[in-house]
Amino acid sequence: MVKNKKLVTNKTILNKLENSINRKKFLTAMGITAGSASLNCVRAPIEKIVPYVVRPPHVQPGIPTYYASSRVQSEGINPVLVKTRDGKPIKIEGLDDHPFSKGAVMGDTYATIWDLYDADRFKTPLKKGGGTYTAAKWDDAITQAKSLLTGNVRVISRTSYSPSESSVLKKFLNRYNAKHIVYDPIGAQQELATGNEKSYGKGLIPRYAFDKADLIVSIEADFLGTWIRPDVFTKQFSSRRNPDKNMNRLVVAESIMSLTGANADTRLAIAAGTHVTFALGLAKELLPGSMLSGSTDINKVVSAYTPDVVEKVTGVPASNLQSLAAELKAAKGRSMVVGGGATSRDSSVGALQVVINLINDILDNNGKTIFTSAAIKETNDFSSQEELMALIAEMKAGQVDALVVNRANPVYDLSMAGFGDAVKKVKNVIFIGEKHNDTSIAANLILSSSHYLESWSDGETMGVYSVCQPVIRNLFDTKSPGDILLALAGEEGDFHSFVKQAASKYLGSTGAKAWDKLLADGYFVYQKEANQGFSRINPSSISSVKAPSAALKGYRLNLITSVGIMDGVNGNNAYRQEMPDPITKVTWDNVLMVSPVLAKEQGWKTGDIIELKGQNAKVEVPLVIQPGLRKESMGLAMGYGQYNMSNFSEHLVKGSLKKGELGVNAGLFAQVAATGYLYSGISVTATKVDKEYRLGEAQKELSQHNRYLARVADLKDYKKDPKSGHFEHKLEGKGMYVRHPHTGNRWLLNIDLNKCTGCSGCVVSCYSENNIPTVGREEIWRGREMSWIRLDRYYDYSSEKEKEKDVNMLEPNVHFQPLTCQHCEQAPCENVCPVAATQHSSDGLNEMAYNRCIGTRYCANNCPYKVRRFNWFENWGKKLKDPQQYALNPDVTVRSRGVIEKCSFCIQRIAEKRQEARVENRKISEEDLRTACQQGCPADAITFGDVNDAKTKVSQLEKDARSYKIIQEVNTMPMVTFMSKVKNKA
Amino acid sequence: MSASTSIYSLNKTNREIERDILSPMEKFPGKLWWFTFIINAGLMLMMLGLIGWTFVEGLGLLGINTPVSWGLYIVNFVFWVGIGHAGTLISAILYLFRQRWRTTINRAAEAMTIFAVMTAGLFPLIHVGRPWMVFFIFPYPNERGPLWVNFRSPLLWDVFAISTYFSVSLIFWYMGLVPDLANMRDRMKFEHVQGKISSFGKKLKYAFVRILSIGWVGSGKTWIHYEKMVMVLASLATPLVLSVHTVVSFDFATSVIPGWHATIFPPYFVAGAIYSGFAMVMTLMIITRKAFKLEAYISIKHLENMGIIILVTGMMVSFAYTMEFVFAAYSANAVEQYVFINRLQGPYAWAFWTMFACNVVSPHFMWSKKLRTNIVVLFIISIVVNIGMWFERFVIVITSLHRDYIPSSWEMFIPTWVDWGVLVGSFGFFFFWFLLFVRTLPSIAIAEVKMDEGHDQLAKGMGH
Repeated sequence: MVKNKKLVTNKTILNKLENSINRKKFLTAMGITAGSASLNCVRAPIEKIVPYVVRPPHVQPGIPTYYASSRVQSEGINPVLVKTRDGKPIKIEGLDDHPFSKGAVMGDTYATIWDLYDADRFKTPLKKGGGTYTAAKWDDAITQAKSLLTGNVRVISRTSYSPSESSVLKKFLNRYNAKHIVYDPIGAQQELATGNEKSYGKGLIPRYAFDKADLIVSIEADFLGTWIRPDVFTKQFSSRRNPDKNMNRLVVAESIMSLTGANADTRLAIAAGTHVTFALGLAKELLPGSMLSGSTDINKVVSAYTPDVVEKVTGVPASNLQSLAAELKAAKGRSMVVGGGATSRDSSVGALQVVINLINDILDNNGKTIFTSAAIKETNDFSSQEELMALIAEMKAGQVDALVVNRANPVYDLSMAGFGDAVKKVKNVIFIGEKHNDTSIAANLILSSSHYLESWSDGETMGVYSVCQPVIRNLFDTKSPGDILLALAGEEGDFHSFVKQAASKYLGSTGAKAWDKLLADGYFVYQKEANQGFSRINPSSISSVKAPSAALKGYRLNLITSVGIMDGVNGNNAYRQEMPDPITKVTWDNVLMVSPVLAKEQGWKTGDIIELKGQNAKVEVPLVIQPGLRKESMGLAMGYGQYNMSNFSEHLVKGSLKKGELGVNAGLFAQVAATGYLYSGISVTATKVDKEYRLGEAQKELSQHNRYLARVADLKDYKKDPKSGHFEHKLEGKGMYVRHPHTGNRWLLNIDLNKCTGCSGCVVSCYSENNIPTVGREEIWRGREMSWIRLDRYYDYSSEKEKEKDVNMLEPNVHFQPLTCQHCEQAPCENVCPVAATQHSSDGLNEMAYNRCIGTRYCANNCPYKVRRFNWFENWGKKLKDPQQYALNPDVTVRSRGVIEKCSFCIQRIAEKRQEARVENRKISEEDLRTACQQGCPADAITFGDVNDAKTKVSQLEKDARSYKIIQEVNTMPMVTFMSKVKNKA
Repeated sequence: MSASTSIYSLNKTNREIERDILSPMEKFPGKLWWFTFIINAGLMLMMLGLIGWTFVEGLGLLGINTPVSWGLYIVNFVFWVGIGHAGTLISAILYLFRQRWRTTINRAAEAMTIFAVMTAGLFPLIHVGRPWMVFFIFPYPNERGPLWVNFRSPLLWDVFAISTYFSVSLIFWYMGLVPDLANMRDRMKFEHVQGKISSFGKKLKYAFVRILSIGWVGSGKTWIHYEKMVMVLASLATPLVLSVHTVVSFDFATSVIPGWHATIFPPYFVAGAIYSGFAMVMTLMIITRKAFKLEAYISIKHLENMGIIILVTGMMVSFAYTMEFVFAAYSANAVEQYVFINRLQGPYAWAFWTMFACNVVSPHFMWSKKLRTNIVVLFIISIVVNIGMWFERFVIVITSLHRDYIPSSWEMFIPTWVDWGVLVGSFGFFFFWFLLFVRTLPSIAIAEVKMDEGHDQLAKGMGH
């Protein structure tokens, strides 16, 4: 436009000039012309994407390429398969042939694709000057960093599973003579390592084989949701949830309902802060007759915890404890007892683990279900509480000249210890990380690190060496963390060759072939799994254990970790925030979990605001009534309330989220002791505040009102009658209209509710695959979440009698039911659409034509399953901030405002495989074709396939006695079958 | 036909009748009219503004959500379609049944029908997600295949039912107007001859009435044709009166949602529509007769008759409510039963009990002759009934949707101020047209009144 304007101006001037031209005017005209000509000739912006001159043979536009890689984080290594399209990673999938993960990935890792394309990431290194950050060049930043690193240098980080990064860090530490502090924000790993060190003198985190245990007892350890390796453990656990074969049994003793507790066959609700008492009580019951029964050290400690004392303190009836002990005795060597997690973090690190070790020793489980060979973590590299306190004291005294924060957020994680105040006294703070957090804003220099999908790295755990390879060039001016540390250490070369070198040690070869195979596979097994367990426990380790022997009075708060947010390090991600918490179903907030009986007594209801006061903390937080809690126990999730986490709400969701409005910092309630942090049984007071709050609850109803949606049977009943817990409606086949013949493929999705743990991995995987928008807290409060597959959660009882017995809702049956479009053969949505925008395909899919949809929403009303979603606002468009658009799957239409959307059974995947099969002139094989939810399920609960082919797994499952369809009475004839849950009650 | 069936007696000459009825059209409107007109026009503009905003931003501005995908817009739609029933019922069905008392109220009632259907017709258009694509709903030859509409969808039946009803009602209304328009033309012609028509406005008005009265001469032959045509149109319109709300009820009845899926819906909806329609006619008539001093034409007897219809239809509606509960109890379907228990006790119980008090309790005051001849009581009850009928649709649409099959999806519907603004604005829209009507067209059928008066006097004469 500007260009045209100039031309017009020139023309008019020239017209005038024609009449009277003199030298001066001629020169003026010349000047204008020359000037405007140069204005017009601004160079076009340089296009960074250039086509391949010679296309590499494996790269085809429009055809995805997959790379095996690993997500290396302080919680462990997640082996992943990265799907890239035209050079852009678009989807994370599990690495199926990986020896320990077997393809298991949880929602947290699926969401990393949006971490990569997060618009809030650092675009360059940043220098602080006069209170603001300015972009810096890498050379300058490194030079400056080196000059800052003088005197007393300290490095703080979380633990690392990467041998290469650790050795680079060592070089760095040596060069600056720096001291390294490693902390654990949740405390689960440290608890295990320290406890084992005390018991066995070996500070390692053993390898657990949940698939080898017939009876699993967990004390506060949420191993299916948040504890140590939930993905791997879910895979192992669910492999034994087969009622026809060797079904396992899970007993959970916990104070706050967790995912593991929700999946327990028997759940024992204990009062908050009394887990050690319970463990000691259990140990006391198990001790007589065992090899350790003669130990005076042990007897001295456990003798006080008689079943009656345990009942008084924990609330668990003495008979339940005794029968559990009897069960465990009967399952000697076939059982496993685990404990730990944030919920059980004690002022004395390792206290619970020592007792757990004692129990496992008594039960002879070491070397049978718990192994030291190919351990999860070989060494205890966590700094002790004394070291951590010393660092903070040093910092406060101004004795630290430079602090390097290596991808951590200690200001937030250690807020109870006053790290935030201490860091202000440090002269120079260098922050290495991807985006702002509460710590980075205190830094003088920010070294922008790359995402794991852009970096070289490696990891080792459970005897497997995994490699992390970049699948895209750095989106911004960032360096991989390894490269940053290498540069700071003043080493030559790049981290890539460093990793290569480290790998060669594991591979036992420096050859290109071995390296290439490593890159192709993503892993290398360097240590075979062996049945090696710990040696005998050191009985004196237990003598320091103390536990309450009288009931704790008053409200007791437990700090917990939620499946979606964990410790909050990756909280700046709308998809993690929008994934409803599997237990509370709350999004975008942490909530105070309160027992139904207390809420009733106090007249509180879900959504009320509670003023919660602790020793040094006071917050206002919304409450949620949570069944399964003892009267005065309360739970509050950590990872929220990070004030300086970037403000993604501006561009990804609609609503009124402002900076610092994402929940409250639960960590402030933690109590600091000389030997650790107390996260459990914290004494608090709670009073209701009169405030309106729009809580983003994705599900508000607790019960399924006897509608037989999620069905459950007892294992004993199931053995007698496999149809136990079922009833059938015999309506199939009736209807007004001519039915579809469905001669070719016919797709069916089967969901085994007995395997499903409710982890919500399928939900996040589906969001990623199908470009589902996030909408934010206020919209979810209104009831406008967009999920295509959702996890329905119910608390119910098998009979009215049981319900009356448990008025306090301590031991309800917890049901999880993933619900997605049922692709009904006689779909009620199809015949009500006036414009025929939703139709049935020949292969049995209920299809949506977004282009045709005018948005009457009649289909959504008439859907008995309520799986249709409407785009109430424009959910993408301007809300996408560069580079978020690259995260969208190009195979799936991005829906505009005003149209309905819903699950398509991943029709794009079906189409892709159909084309492949057609080219190769064969049928679509079941192995090829998996829906995103199926792939996203670490528990293998979802099966998808052609039900017209009798040989497929899905058609066999459809005929299983446990299979049923829901809301059959409407004669919808759904193409989703559920398999009823079977509870292995003792 | 005996004169005793006539419930009003004027004893006025034709000229007096003309003057009484046409005087509001021949005077410049007074302050009261302007006051109400400006308020209603303002409300209408507010509504149009809100609609424009939802066009730009999206339907998310309303309170609707996933289980409750239809909110106040559909409640209003059904409400206004219901209002639009009485007019054609009065002019067609009561005509066929030779109910002569309908003559003085049929014109205004028909106008009310037209405007109510216009108001109702707005809602389906503005409640869609992509209103700019709303033409997809019409079956017309196109280049998309051609892609045809889905004839199985009750929403499509709605399109046909309402557009047919609207066009037939409009034609019927206009045809009834022709002799009166000619009357107006003739009165103006007299002025015209005298040279009294000088202002542009008057000239324009004269041109309009001349065009609209399509050369009506009022000869005997014309009247014969005219009477035949009215008979044909009345016969055509009669089934439509019953079919429109039947089809609207199909939107709900053919669905699978408990609380919607009920075979009783068509007659129940028609009865409800007549109920609310007569209540609205009553409200409007009481205001009109007062404002334009037409008490002689719209007598207390008229209002009493309408009161009786309200009583009868009110009891029909009450019966339907009861039957719904009986069906649910008998169905042995837990989901169906829950929906009705939820109506009585759930979070929207207040809406149900408001409806119950307004629709089931209030018409029974009509049993008393004293009360049903008291204008104030009638006026209050007519308004109460319409409030009740609005809540009836609220109960049907909202409470059925908000807790259906899957408890995990249960949600509350909390209307936003946009929802309320459009509801209030729809009244503004309706009254905007109605106020224009009473000032521009005769709100009582002059020719028919004259005919009745002639019959009366003839009968009197014969009686002597």
